[in-house]
Amino acid sequence: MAVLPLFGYQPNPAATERFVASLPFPTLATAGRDLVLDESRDVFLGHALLKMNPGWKRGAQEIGSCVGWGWSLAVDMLAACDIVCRGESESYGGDTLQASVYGFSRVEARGNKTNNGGDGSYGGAAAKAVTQFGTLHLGQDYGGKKFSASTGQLEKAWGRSGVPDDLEPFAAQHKVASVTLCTTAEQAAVAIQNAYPIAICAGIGFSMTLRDGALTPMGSWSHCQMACGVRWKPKPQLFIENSWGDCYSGSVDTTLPVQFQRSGGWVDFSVCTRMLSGEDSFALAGFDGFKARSLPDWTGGIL
Amino acid sequence: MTDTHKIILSLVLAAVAAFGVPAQPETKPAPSPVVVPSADMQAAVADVHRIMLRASAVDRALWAEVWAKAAKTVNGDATDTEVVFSDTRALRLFNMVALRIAWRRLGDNAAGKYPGLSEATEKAFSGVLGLDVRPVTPELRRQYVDLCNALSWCGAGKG
Repeated sequence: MAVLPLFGYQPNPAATERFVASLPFPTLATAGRDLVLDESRDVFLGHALLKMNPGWKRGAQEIGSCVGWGWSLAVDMLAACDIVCRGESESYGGDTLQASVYGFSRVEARGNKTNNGGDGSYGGAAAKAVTQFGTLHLGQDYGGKKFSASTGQLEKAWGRSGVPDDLEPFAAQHKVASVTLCTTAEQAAVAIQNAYPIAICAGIGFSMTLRDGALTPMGSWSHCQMACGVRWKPKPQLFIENSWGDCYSGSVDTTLPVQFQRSGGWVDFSVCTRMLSGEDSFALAGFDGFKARSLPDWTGGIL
Repeated sequence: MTDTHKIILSLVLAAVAAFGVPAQPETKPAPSPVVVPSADMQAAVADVHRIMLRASAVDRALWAEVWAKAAKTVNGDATDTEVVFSDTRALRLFNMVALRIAWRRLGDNAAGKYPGLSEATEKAFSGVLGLDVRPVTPELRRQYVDLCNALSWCGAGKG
């Protein structure tokens, strides 16, 4: 399959800084004082997502909407972790419609009516979008409207004019409770170990060939991705999931679920810290999920 | 010590010598009464009962107390002015909190200590109450309480 390497991260440091300053806990250092990094515990949040959505497979963005794609998957991982890891009595309401996060981040979250300035967005705007405007989801009935996929056409339209007004009340029912700036690989690792995914907006690119599942930094990508795993051997690395489908060739990490083996890769902590130091990457916590139709169990695996 | 103090002390000692030390109120907690479950409920918890027969005496007693107190707590909604458990999600959350505190933390029981106990308990709950999210009606509350009492009975070494 030919890979179309589309990006779409347009940094806006001043706007992100303003947004971060408005947060009750701007950084993970303040938000997660009690979280302790365990330098021996590997965690991969993709397992939780696949438990909730076994048919999940990473799609490929069709326009410069990577911010919508990276953030949407982070929201989905969070929703799954709320249920699987934290035992919250919610149901998984379907994957987040990337166009909703993308559209909100370009228009409503910036206080605009329209945005005709090409494609692309930035992390601070997406953070504002998911926390203040919410998310729409595939397969849900929104007053007779249903979405089965987020197409480039839809993302282009909503990226220009925002999410239609009649859908905004539905989106507002499913917000992310809090986001906090994540600036080092260690902060990201401790968040992931506590089942909080990271949406990453950065400028570092990678080779398209995996080496035992690891990615080699190469060139520059103005790109949004997300981190959902941490491992300590052979060296400390985060797993960074792309939004270009099964885009990577080379030798994969066979310990990963097959859905993740060619759609993302392991990245050294030092490279991750360079990516996160751009101060436009966030840990997500507390998804306001869908009402459960049934209980997962009665005792939560305690016995 | 003044003369007055000496007189008071001698009177107290004389009273103790004459009548003995006043009886103190009983402070040892009484174990929860064991409710014998119906035949249907005994069948629902049969696997738990079988596993509990092999458990240590301490764990059996703890198991019996946890579920007896869970039953009493939830049954309180029938008479209290404020309902605490409004739907099955609330009951599940209560189960998890109660088990985590009493069974896991206070009892030091790791998950899987008794193979099959988790599955057997889940089977009992889903068999009696199902897995649907629904409001707690008086009927559902009674079923939950009966089931908790039946689980308690398993730990009490009865049957």
